[in-house]
Amino acid sequence: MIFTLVIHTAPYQAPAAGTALRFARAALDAGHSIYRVFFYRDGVHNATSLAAPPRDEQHIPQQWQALAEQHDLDLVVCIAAAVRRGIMDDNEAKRHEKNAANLATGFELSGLGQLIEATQASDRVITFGGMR
Amino acid sequence: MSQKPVLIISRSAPFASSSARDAIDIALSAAIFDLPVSLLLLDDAVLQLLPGQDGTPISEKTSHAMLGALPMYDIETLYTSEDSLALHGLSAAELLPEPEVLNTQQLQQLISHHPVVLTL
Repeated sequence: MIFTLVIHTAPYQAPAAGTALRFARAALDAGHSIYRVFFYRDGVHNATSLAAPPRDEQHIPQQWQALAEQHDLDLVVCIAAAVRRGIMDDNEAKRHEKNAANLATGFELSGLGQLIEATQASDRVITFGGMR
Repeated sequence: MSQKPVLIISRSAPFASSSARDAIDIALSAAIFDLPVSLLLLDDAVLQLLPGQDGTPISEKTSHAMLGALPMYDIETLYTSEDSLALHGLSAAELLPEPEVLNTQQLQQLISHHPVVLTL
């Protein structure tokens, strides 16, 4: 089955982002495929390259990167939600005259159209951490 | 590409979170793809339809105006549930635009008839 995952919450304060990560691993291990992981709303914070959790805690952004590299996952971050919250790639940092970019490698900024397109191309769309 | 209708479910009151605005953004994006889109406002989200809202004093945009503009994007019907109205002691006629009110069974049907459901 082809899944798309939508993640609405930042890591650490709520378990949803970690749950999504474990769901993604379980789905891939079971032979399913993941068409896209779309980070929306506060979920864009999963894509920061600046997260530095204590060594004995899970590093969620890094784990997404590792999983994406291993399985060639498409990690798309909503550009409007990201820029508003200070998650920028080099282009956006330049455009908004910021002195640094912080989008982690393996993630890509794009529009909500990528979410809609993914819903059409997938058998199932699973939302993690909505409802607020 | 096959055309799968998209159901967007919002469950938060208008200024309690960005849910109202973010749900509308998804709805408009889906409409740009010419997909059939339905918006279901459940629980506190039914308050998004109360007339006379103004976010200006708290420096927020008023998403209520956008809900009224959805028909321009061919998003014709807003849904809510009997339970959501009862929760707030409201009737559909007090709301703008007036939503279509579903009972529990109709709610189940609406959700099960949509291959894509996005909740926020």
